[in-house]
Amino acid sequence: MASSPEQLELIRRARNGDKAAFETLVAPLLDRLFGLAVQLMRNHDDASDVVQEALVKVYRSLGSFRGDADFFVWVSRIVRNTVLDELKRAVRRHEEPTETLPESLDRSLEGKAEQEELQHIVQDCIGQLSVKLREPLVMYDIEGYAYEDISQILKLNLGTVKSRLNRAREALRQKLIGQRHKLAGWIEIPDDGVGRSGGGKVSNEVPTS
Amino acid sequence: MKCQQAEPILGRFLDRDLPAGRFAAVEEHVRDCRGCAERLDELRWVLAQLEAQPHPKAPSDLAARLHLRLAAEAAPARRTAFDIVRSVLNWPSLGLGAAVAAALMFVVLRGVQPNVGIQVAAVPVDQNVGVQIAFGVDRDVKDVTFDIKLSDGLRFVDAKGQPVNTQEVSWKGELMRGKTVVPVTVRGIRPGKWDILAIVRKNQMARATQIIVPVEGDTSSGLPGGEG
Repeated sequence: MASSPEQLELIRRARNGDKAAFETLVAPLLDRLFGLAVQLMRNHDDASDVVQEALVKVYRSLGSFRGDADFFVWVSRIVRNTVLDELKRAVRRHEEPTETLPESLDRSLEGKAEQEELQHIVQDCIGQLSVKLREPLVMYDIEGYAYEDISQILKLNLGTVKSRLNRAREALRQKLIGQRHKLAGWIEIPDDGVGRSGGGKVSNEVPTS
Repeated sequence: MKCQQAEPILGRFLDRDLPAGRFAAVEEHVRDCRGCAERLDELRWVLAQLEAQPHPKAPSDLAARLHLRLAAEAAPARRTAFDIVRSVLNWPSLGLGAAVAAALMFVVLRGVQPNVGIQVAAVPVDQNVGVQIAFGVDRDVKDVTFDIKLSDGLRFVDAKGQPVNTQEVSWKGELMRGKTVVPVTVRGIRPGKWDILAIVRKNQMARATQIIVPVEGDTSSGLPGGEG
């Protein structure tokens, strides 16, 4: 999807040095960009720094933005690349990723404790996936990017995106099943058939041939 | 269908991202295969958990921190070719009317490419038409000069879609590997067969492509400055 006329006008102004226009341009994107960075980095504080750094890069690079592209997808790619850079730096520094997830993910919160414990286990397992597998899983299954957008962000063809997504889901399934003892009482296996469990991606649409 | 065929596509089955025939085959298989049915249920549960993951909001100070960082930034890198073109050409109006035409020009700086005239569909007089000019190269090329020239019956348009007395735009820039598209909006101001000439130059090399724009009908309005 191409950028909207409003975005294009803000980009034009920002290119001329109008920083307020740039801030107006990116303000509606902050939550989604931050969500992407958190899911990829598994660290709340680092994600905030990375998004800020990425947006400064975006501002500096506005001249190379192609008007026929989707601005959000373009920015997402820069955020993703900045995340990768940061993860590589962390490896060079021999840093272990520390879980400092946002409060809403903090399992110590009272109420909904069990659900949050479950979320924490899922987060742990996602964090164990390689970045290569984590990326499409996070983008498609959590952040809701379309296949085509992921393809552009990761510079992979659609088939590779789907293949990696499938491998990521399978790897996550195996990790979670491997934690059955922690999940006792949470896994409720439905009878059978498609679309009976309420899984978010199951729809009632007729598949296309 | 066998288990080893079904297993790799269970996710796409849940996404309904399979051709109808394969979808039906998986559906039939999981009805008869307890192992794959269990696996499917587990996968469905996993996807439900992913869908239920919270979406954290950006910290409230992120916008403020960005503001402070930007305050220390100079204006973005020099205005690019595309920015200059866009400021003249009202490029968001590319979709105006039904007379939007697209032509692709691939300019290969290395190797000889014949100049081929591409004719777009005829447009009525006084109607804007958008043309996408795509510059394609197999590697990054810096310090390139672009020229877009219009013949007599065509004019560039301003941000309001009105014709201006500009028939040539030139700028320096660079081509990134792959395809770079420059949307150009022009208006036919008098009947005839006119052309848009797009030229890209690098040192002593130059490639040009002609896009022919037939304009039909009667002249009805003038141009700023009394022309037309």
